[in-house]
Amino acid sequence: MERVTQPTLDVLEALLGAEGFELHGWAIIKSTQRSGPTVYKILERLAGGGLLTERWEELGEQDNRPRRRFYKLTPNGVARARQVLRERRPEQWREATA
Amino acid sequence: MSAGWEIAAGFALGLVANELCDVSPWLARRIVPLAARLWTTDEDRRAINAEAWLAIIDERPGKLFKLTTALAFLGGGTVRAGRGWVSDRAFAAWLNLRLTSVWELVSYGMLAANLVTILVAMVTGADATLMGSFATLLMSAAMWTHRKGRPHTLARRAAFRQVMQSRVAEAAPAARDAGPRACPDPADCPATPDAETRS
Repeated sequence: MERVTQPTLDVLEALLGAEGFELHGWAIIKSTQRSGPTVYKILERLAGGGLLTERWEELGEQDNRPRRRFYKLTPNGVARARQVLRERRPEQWREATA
Repeated sequence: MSAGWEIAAGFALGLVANELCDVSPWLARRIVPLAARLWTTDEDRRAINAEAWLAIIDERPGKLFKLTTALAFLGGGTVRAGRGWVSDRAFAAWLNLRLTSVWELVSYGMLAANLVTILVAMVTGADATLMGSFATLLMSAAMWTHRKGRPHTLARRAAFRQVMQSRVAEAAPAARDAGPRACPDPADCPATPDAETRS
C-alpha cells in the first residue's frame, strides 16, 4: 500500500467496521461518501497488494438482478488497515476501539 | 392565446422531464458496460466491473442518481483510457528518441537554430549579411551532422526490430503452451518484448 490517501483510509475504515470485514460495492460507496470510480480505483489497488479478496454474491433462482461484488479484507489486510488507521487517524481509532 | 401556449408548453416540458427521468435508469445500464470497457483492457476485469457496477446502479435510489452514477463511472473510465493513450505515446516518443543517433539529434538542433536565426533577422532587421552567414553555417552543420547520424539511427532501429522479432518468436511457443490464465504470478510468466523493453 504505497499511497495512503484520505479516500483509502475511508475505504479501509468502512471495511474494518463491517461484519466479517466484508462489504459490497454500493455499501462502500454509501459508507465512504466517495464516488464510484474513486472507490473502485482504491479497491483495485488494495486487491493488487493482496489486502483484499473479492467474491460474487450468490443469487437465488428468483432473483432477477445483477450480482453484487463483495470485497473482504484479508487477515494481512486487516492488520495493515488497523496499523495505518492507528497511525493516520488516531482520534477516530481511539473512539472506535474504546 | 398566450396563456394557452404557456399551459401547453408547461405540459409538454413536464412530459419531457418525466420521460427523461424514466429513461435515465435504462440509459445508465447502457453506459456502464462502456465505462467498464474504458476502465481497463483486461476482458475478464471488464466483465466483472460491468456486472458489479450494474448492481450498484440497481441499488442506487433515484432514477436520475442512477444516471449520474453511471456517468461518474464513464468519466473515470475516460480519464483512465486517456492516461493510457498519453503514456503509450510518451513511451513511443521516448523510445524513438533513444533509438536516434546523437548526431542526428544535433542536426535537428542546428536546423531549429537556423530557423530561429532567420526569424530573428526578419523580425529585428539585424545585419542581413552577418545573420545570413550565420544561418548558412548552421544549415551546413545541420546537413553534415544529419548525414553522419542518419545511418547510425537506421542501423539502431533495424537492430532493435531484429531483437524484438526474435524475442516474439521465442516467447510465442511458451505463451501458447502455458496460456495466459496459467500464469498467475508475473514473475513466472514468459517475458514479453514489451515488458522487457519497458523495464
